[in-house]
Amino acid sequence: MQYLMLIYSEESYLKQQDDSFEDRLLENYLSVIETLQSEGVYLGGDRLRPTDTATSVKVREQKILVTDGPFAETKEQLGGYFMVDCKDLDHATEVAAKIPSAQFGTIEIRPIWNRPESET
Amino acid sequence: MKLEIENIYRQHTGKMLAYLCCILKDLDKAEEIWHDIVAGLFEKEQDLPSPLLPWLKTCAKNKAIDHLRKQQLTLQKSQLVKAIATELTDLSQEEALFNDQQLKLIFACCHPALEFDKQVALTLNVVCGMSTEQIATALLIQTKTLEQRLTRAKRKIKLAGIPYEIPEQSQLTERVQAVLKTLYLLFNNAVNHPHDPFHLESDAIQLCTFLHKLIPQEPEITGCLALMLFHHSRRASRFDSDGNLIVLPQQNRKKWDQTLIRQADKLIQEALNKKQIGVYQLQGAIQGLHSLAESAEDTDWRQIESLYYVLLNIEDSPVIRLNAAVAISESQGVDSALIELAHLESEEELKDYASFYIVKAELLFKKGQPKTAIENLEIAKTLTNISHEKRHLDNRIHQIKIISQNN
Repeated sequence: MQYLMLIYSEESYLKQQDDSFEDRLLENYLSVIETLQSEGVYLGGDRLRPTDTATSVKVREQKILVTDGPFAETKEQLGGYFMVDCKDLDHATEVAAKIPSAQFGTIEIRPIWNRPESET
Repeated sequence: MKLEIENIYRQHTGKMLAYLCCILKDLDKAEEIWHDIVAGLFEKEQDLPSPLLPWLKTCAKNKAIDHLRKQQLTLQKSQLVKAIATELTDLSQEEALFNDQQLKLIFACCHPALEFDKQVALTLNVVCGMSTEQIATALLIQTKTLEQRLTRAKRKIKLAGIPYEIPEQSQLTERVQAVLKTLYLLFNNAVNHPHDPFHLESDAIQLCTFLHKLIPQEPEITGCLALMLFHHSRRASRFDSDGNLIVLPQQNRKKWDQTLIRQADKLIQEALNKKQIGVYQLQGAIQGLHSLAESAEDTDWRQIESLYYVLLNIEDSPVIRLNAAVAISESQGVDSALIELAHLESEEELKDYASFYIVKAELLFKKGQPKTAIENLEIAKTLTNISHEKRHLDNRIHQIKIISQNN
């Protein structure tokens, strides 16, 4: 089953840490991704630039409305995602727990809406 | 005949859905097939096959295999092979397999990805075989609300991929807690009924016994079973012939089932010996102290109070603090208990909790304040929907009025 893992954490938390924290965090991410790739679990993923670089777009009554910032101000912000192929929700939970940001943030696990090749 | 159908559902749904879910990994399909089988049973004007369960199982297997053949997907073909491979002639192995499947279904229904209300509704529907109307009545909620809840829960299982598996050893203790929470809620609901029309009390005990048999290494299961049996032993003394509630200090202890008490006592000792203390073991031990006291006056309140402190160390909640306050009122005195209650006044959780006002009322009455006691009992009355509880409170208010008039 395919899932999207949405990685949320407080952007301010990262800023509060010492200089080496981010480097170590990214190293951990690379290591986890490597392991998940070798297990055939990792399908893709990316880190996202912080929410102050976000732009939100709506179309209402044929008008394109553009605003600066994420669609909503939240306590934790979306910082990245993994797309994975897991046996079931328990396996997905195990994988999510390995994501380094899970230590201080939240991982939301969303099943990807059925595509023909992912039907079980 | 409706009763017969209901009985078949109550008795066999858990096993049959477990069996079908393990082959098909699809609760919706499993339910469809099960309903077909039951409908088919009553179409013919014949007696039900006896013994029924093996016949049902064969029927289910055939229908499941039929369904899998029509699918023709490679994943399901391997499940098909598995299904055929589970053709067992040895009856003892068959029972073990059945048990395994049921356990998996219970864990799926009580999965942490489902919120608690959904876990309870699912367990009653899928494991205990109750209809939506029956569940709605038992839980005092609207049928429509319950139907939506069940639909969402079943959808979540399917779409999010909640597995029909027994959890890994590392997760087992935690996952067991969720199951016990659901079972204990079912049990508690039943305890509130003079007649327990849906036999939830015995169902909960049966399920807990089943868990205890299959997972004997988890002392919380043993503790929960002991807790249930201690409560169950008092069933005959809980209500009078008119369906009026009789509270613990006033129960006729001669009516308590000593066999059950001995059984429960043995279980609680077994659990405590494992030295992995937990909330159900502690609650079981507390109820044990009540059950083993020959009279209300003989109750070892000091020990009960100590057990509450240990319990609060693990799980600190306003309701547990309230129960602890009752023990404190007996072991230390009314004033100490009233101090505890003063601390609890601001707790949001207790604002609409009838027992809070009842405990407060009894303490105030002991302090010689009948008027404020009655005020609190009146508040408690507004917070309960259960008729025999309302009646009990009315009786108590009346009693206090008479006593205070005579003084």
